[in-house]
Amino acid sequence: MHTEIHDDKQFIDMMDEVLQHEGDTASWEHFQMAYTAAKETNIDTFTGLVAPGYLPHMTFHPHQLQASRRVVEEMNGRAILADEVGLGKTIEAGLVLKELMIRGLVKKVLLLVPASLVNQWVNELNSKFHIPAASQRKQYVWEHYDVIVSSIDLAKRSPHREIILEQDYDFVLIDEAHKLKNSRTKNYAFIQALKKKYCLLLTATPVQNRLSDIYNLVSLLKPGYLGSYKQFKDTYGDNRKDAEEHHYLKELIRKVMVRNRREETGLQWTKRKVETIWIDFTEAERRVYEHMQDSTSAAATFAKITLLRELCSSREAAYLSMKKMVEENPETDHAYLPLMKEIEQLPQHSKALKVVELIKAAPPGEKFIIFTEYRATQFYLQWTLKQHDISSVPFRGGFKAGKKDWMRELFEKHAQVLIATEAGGEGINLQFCSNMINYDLPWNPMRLEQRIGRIHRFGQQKDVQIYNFAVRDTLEAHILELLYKKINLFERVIGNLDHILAELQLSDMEKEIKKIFADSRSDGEVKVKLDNLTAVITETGQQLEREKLHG
Amino acid sequence: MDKQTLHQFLRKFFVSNGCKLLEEKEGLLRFLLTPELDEELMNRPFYWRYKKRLGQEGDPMELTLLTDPNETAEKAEYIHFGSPRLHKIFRLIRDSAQVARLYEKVDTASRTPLYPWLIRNISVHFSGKRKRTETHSVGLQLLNGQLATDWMENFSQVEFKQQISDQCYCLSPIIRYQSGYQRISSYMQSYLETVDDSWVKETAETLKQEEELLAHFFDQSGQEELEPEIREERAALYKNELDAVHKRLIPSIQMETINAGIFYLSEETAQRLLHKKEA
Repeated sequence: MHTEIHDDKQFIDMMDEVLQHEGDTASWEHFQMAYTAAKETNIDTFTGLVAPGYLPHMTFHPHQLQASRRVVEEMNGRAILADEVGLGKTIEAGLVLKELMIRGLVKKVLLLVPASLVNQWVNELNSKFHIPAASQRKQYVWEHYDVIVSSIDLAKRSPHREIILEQDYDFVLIDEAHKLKNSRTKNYAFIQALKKKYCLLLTATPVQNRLSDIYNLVSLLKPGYLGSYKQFKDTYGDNRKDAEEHHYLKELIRKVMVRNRREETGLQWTKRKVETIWIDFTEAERRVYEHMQDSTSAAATFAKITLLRELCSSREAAYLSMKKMVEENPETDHAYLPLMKEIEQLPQHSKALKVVELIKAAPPGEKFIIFTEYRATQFYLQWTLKQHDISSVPFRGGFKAGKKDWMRELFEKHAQVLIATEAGGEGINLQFCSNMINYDLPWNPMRLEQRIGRIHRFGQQKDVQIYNFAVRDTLEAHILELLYKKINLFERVIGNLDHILAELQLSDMEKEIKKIFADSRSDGEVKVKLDNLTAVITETGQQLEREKLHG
Repeated sequence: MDKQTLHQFLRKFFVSNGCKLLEEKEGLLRFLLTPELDEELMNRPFYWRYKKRLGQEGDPMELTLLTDPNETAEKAEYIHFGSPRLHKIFRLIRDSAQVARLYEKVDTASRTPLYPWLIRNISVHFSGKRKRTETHSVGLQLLNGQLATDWMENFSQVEFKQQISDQCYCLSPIIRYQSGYQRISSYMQSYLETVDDSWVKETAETLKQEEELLAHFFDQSGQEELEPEIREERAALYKNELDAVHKRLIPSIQMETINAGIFYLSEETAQRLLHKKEA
């Protein structure tokens, strides 16, 4: 078989030039050292990962090494990395990139990640992998740096878009790639149009709802690998469940996708300790709660449920919502104004005082993360903690990436408490803290899992302490008792919760629960309905478990 | 590269480049850099630009390197295989030592002829589905065409100088440098024919498969009803993907000269070391 052999013809001309014109020549020592340097960096094996030897400060887990090795050796650097949350997809991707760079296969790199994670990626590539990555801010650095991290939203806008499409990338990585499941979107077309030799797609949920999700992802990596779209649909249909029956399809996908599951990694996870902290409303608070509950008038049932939830969190949250409603619909003032008046009279919120009590009782300096659903509560808590000389920093999803990093650092180095709203739950690692207070509970178990995932992940050395705050005899109590405790969410790490919910087509769990509260006429009815819901979730989980064992 | 080798390598590098060795113990090296190396390594271009603009000499920094991670010292940095600092040093040394003209150091009272050798060190990159790189060192005697492999390894203990020793004189090459270089290429080509080529077959197979997949996916038939614009778009995508596949999967071998030089060597040393190898 004929293989093209390229000779280095320029060198001898250069050498001739140097020798004839008495140019600078090297000493024996330097000549030898240059040879040694080259020889040491030349890798004489096709197989195996050499990158870990370059990174002695890193400890890689066996599943990470194996995943990276498979991507490099078997998948030829084009793969979907679909480990479950918290197993280190970033690490695996970094290792693959490092390996390809060391072997001289990759130089020009583009990483497209969510805006909130740009800095984190840059930091990790630099500090963990010694890969000199730069983040794309406003300057047009596309042509000047070899390794660039950017958000997809920025990258696809003019003038960046045109510049990027001009570049010949050796390596393109997309984090949170499930957002590309729809092939008709602009983002999809943009990624498809990028020139990319190697490509990694990172997602924890490769198939969300439809089988075409995976078809579209694979088609970015290896167009044609799963046939044309029509063939694919004709053969496999579009029902996610059908995938289970198509062993051939599963086999095909296995060749382009790495998916580690928590329980398969055989790693020891630190424990989760869960404690429910019950709070009793003061008489005044209870009165407001009951008045609110009984206000049958203009207050629509859905709005009422929201307000009751808010009241369990802080006076401010409920107050502001009502104020907004009255502003928007002045005719509702007769329903809300009296309630607002009542709230104004409340001196403090019992729950906030309980937080202070808990933190004061902890060893000095012990760090806490408090999660709340409401901005108003966040402000109120900050103020309350300050009154009691407890230092805290706020954290919100809406913060710019730089501010997020800064807040994270403030928390790590200076503050005792971080108060995060729900949106802050994604994309920040806080494993240096091992205490978490769920000041109020989201009504979507996935979001709760993400909250916990911020601190209960790789790198967490201590057991994780979770405090769930709930006010007795409120809907909050129902959610905690009837939903979360039943599905045992707190103690166990539910790897496949996302699958379960997808299976049940319960994409909007929160709406589902609201409906249960709204449509039920008594607590008993709420209980029965929530019981049914948890039973289904548990059973589906068990069923998926069995399928996995057999399939 | 083990710790000791790295330690020796670094010491040689800095000292031979004129840096002052301020402190050395096991696992630790402390140097006063030269202005040149400070500029290359310490990443403070503004400092040097200002100093030059002011016409002043700069103060080069001290650099403390730990070759053993268990050592500690103030303002020290752990250097290891894979650390960016070391690879920067590798780059510097490779760039600065590409061509040599060296003479064997001979202690002699009688007239001694030195024979010219062309030494060429080569990285051979085998790129296919995966990649590996071999390192070769080949020497060619420029009078009789004698060829020797592993040259750097075999002659590592010989002392070479940039000036010719007393009483020695150089014989003129018969083979020109250009054709000597070419002869080494030819030798390498014939060697490469003997190397296991299963990787080529494997790569070619994968290439064929992936080309077929693409052809299938971007199948032109049944597209007549598509708008011309969309058809063009698809054609462009097809080309993109095909290019990427070719970049990844067309097998090739590339010879890259690491460095090369003319070495003048006494017959005695050449015979001794080349025979020793055969024995």
